[in-house]
Amino acid sequence: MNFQEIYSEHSNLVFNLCLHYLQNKEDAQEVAQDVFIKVYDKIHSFKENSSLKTWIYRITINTSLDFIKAKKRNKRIFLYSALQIDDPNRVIHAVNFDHPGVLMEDKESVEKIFQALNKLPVEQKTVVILLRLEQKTQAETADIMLKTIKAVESLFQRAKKNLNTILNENEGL
Amino acid sequence: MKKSSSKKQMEDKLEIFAKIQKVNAPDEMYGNILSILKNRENTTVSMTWIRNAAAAILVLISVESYMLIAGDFKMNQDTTPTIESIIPSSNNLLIYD
Repeated sequence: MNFQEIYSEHSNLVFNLCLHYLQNKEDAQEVAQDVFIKVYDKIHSFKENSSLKTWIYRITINTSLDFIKAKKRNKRIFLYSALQIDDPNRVIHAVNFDHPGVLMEDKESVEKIFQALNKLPVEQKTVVILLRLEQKTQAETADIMLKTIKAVESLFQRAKKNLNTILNENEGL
Repeated sequence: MKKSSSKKQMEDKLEIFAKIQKVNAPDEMYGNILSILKNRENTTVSMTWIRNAAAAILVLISVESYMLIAGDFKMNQDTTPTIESIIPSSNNLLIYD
């Protein structure tokens, strides 16, 4: 399979997964491009221990998480230097929400849940994205995350509990 | 009872994610990727240049080290300062015209 074939088969998957992590079209495109550059560079070292799709899923998840980390770091530096704010976490989670897959009438409620999702630890966030947004089975999710099905199940339960707490806190504000 | 109902509530809230539609990747993305790859290849320094530069740096370091060692050796050979090197020779002749 050459690079063009890999791209045409996986581009929508990668772009949509990036969108779920970043909730912004421009950021998602930037990260998706990075993902395919990594795929191009590493395709020779790809060992067929897992399927190509699973491998691309892992690269996409890691690249998206790295992008979020870098963005948070930059924001923190900017806030400390420019505004001298004591607690930069207050605005770190503010994402310019621009998810083209969300219908206009659902935008407000989906944005609220995404805001809560962004506050979860990365593994819990990934489990929710793979199970609920990507509609993967627990076995597929476990395979992508290199975890047992039991661990995925437990992560999902904790994620739901934390999401509920965060959403209730936000409603109480 | 309360626990299970809050879990159910959360499940219901997460149901909204199923409404999110899949979108197509932007058309320009493949072109962008190819141009990034092309630019990267153009800006990449070839191995020949890297080897030549490394060889040149090694030669410079060797010459520099040789000069330092040779200089030290010369100084070591000639450690006792002569009286002339400490006290400049003076002209003791007094000339009265």
